[in-house]
Amino acid sequence: MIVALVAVAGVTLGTLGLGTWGMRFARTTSDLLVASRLVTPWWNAAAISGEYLSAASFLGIAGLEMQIGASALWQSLGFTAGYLALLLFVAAPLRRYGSYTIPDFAEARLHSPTLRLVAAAIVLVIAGFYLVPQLKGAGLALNVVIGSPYWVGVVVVAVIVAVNVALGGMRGITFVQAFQFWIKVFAIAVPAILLLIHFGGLPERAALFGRSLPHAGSRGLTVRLGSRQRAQFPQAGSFIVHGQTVHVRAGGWVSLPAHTPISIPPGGVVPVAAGTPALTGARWSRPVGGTGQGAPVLVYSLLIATFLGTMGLPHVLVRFYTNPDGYAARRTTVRVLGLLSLFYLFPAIYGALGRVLAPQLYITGQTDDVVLSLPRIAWPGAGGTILTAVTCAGAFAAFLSTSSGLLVSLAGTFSHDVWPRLARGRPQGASLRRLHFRLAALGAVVIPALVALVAQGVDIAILVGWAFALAASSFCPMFLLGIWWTRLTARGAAWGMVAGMLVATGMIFAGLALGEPTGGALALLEQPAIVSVPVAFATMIGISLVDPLRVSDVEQQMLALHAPEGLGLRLDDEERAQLLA
Amino acid sequence: MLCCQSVGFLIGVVVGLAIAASAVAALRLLRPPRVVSDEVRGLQTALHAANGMLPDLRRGLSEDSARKVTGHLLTLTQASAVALGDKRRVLAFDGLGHDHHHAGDELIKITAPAREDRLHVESRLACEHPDCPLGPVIAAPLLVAGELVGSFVALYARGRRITPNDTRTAAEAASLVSAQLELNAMDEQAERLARAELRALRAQISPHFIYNALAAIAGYIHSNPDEARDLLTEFAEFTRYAFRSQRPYVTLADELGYVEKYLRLERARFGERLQVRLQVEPEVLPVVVPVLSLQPLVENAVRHGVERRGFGRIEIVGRHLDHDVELRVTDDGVGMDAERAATVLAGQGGGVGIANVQARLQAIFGPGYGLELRSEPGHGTTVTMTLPKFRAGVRAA
Repeated sequence: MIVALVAVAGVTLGTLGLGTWGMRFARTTSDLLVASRLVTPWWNAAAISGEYLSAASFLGIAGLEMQIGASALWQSLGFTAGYLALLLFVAAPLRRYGSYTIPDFAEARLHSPTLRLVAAAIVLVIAGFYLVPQLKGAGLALNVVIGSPYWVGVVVVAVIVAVNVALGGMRGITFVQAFQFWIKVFAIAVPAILLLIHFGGLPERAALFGRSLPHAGSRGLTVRLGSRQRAQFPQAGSFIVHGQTVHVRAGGWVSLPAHTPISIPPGGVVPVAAGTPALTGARWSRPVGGTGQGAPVLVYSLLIATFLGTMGLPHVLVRFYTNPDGYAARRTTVRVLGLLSLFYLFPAIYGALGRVLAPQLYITGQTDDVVLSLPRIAWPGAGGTILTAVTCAGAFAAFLSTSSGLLVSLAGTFSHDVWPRLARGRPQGASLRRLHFRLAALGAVVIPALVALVAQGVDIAILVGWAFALAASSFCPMFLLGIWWTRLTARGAAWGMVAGMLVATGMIFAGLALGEPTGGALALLEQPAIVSVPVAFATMIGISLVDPLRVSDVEQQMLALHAPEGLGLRLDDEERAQLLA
Repeated sequence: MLCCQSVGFLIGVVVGLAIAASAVAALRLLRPPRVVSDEVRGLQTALHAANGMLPDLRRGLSEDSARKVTGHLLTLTQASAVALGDKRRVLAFDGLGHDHHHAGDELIKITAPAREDRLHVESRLACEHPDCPLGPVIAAPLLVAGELVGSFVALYARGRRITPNDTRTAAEAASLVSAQLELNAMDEQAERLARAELRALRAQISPHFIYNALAAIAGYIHSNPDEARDLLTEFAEFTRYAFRSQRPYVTLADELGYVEKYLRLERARFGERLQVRLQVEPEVLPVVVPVLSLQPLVENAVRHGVERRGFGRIEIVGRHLDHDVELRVTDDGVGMDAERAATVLAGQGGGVGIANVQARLQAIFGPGYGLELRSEPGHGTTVTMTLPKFRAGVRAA
């Protein structure tokens, strides 16, 4: 896999180099008017999309689709639709307000330094949760590229990102992130299109839409496992190992040896790892229904989490700051919707092709690998090798850009929101703040990396789903009510966010502790947004209504949020008195 | 797939939490142990209450701030009820009898109007409500700079006798509130001072520069009338920006546009002898700064780095660093020694413009932000300005 290694190394060095030397992208010379140097909505939109498209988008959706079928595609729908919510309710007012981070907004809107601390703590939790799947993706990807153990990839990417952020290499420069977006689109689109051309469309439609279970192709299937693997035959089938044919009845468990060629005869059914459902094509291709992830209540819960959670992602929101005004922020968001829609066409293709062409991934259960290894498996020879190198490089671009953005958010929250509160009274110069930022960047990566090491078995898409659920049940109500409701109070916002967080994390951990409950209300533990978001809203509204401590200058705040810029609209004291009367 | 690895995942989370918890525990252990006596605890409660009032009272005396501090005053004075009033009305009431005593009542219903010079004690509250549980009243004046602004009223349950201790406590509480209100008045004064400084800056930057700019334009009138007309337009826009009042904050994009106009006028005078490099990341442009905060730095660089030698090179670099931005203005002029550099920011020894900028930046953004000056004789001067990307209440008009 020399080609892939070179491609990954190239992308990594390119990313680091661009981050470090990206200064040159800042256009210079003094003859230009400064105004024309503002970033255009297209650049901004590409940068937002570049920062946003993470391991979940690049690997997770296709992997989950291959495993549980078309209902996984609700994720890509929700990931995109989240920007619609942002466009409708948040983007323009927030930009007019001028705040940079979420704690900035929370403190300024409700005049509460305590609320800033609460918001900062939630930023830490969400960004930490979101960092785990990025590192998990890195572990998988490096395993595909050089066959290294899972932990190597996690540690390598964690160290690269932490050191790079600490050295100030990844300052979230708009042009660099925009460039990253196009790398990712290229890396996922080109192999998908070439594979479709190579096979002349989707092959073996019966496996996708018919009654058959995942099965070996017309030339049979030969795999070599990295470790001993238990798997279950969903139908009666057979396999050949050491020259002997073993017949297995339907539902029978087998233990497959490692490092030995195992063959499944042409058309034979493929055994699946524990936890991986074996679905017929008809079930697989149905987006809603059944008791699994396609159950309507889970789909709605997922849509709520993603639709409302996007606006609460700390590393995405700071990107809107670069827009010169609210109008530009809205134009940028519309372009983001377009760019993301373009990108999300392609993961679906990998999931579908993977089910037909790479059924061996069902044996190990590592369907998250499908984007990385599909080209190599499906198209033996130089063509597949090069395409796998391309998707691996794209995946690395995804990990690096998203985890850098997240780590910058984590470290910035430590050095700007948490530390100054802890160290009140001590000197706080600009250079000291930089030092704290660097130390925080190095320290903040440790816990997510440890969690990623033990979370190898949890699907990337599910891990990311939790980060969205947490954001939807904490920051989303704070933004929607803070921007559109005059009666919100600091106490209401704080308790609402805390309640949403507690319910969401409680449900997630309860779900983990109980194993994987399926069916009935317990299945919601895996997808808590449909419960936790209403709880957060209700708490926020209820406590605000009984709280006597209203925000004193709320009309001023509403003007700052909603009045178009450039009109210079501000209330003077007399007008305020009239409004209040 | 989820279930078989979920235990491992849980373990990871537990390990992570354990590490965080042990870090906190270690920090705690490193601190000296705390033994708290009753007396100290009482003192701590009092200090805590006093401290809790501070941020609210710093915003001045209003219904809003009064309502937030009455709870603290109740713990501080141990009275049955407390009220804060302005000169006429009750702003907030807390404690016994709050069912029929409200904010907005006439103060006279509780107590006679406070006098500037002394405490007022009444042995019985003249309340018309039949079930009013309150009896004795102490009213203390709130004074800011010797002037009466309101009253602090401590009320006690019916039948209780007022001791000298009670009056002393009430007086002390009132003077604590007064002191904190005084701080608010000082804040307002500092703000007024900053505004006055801005006016002074607007008046001050110009004469020297205006003379030179006009002289340079005059030089073009015959040789290149078109250029002269353009320059005059720039000059008009320049002065409009500088003198337009009621705009305390602008975006850095606006301020940089102003700097560009300024440099264009200076280049009319120096021509190719003045080299300028402007390298600003676009992420820096939406940052909100006080008006006329960057231009004085550039003007200083021109005056000290270029004018004396007749040629020179000026560099303006803007970078964004996570939550902050940093602007650097560098010249390659004669520079200065460390001693002098230290005094420039303080406003001694020339450089009034820079000291003014520094004072305004620190007044708005706090001590962690503002200017830093680095210079060596013969190696030019660099002024670095650090700003936060957002500060509540600081908004470009």
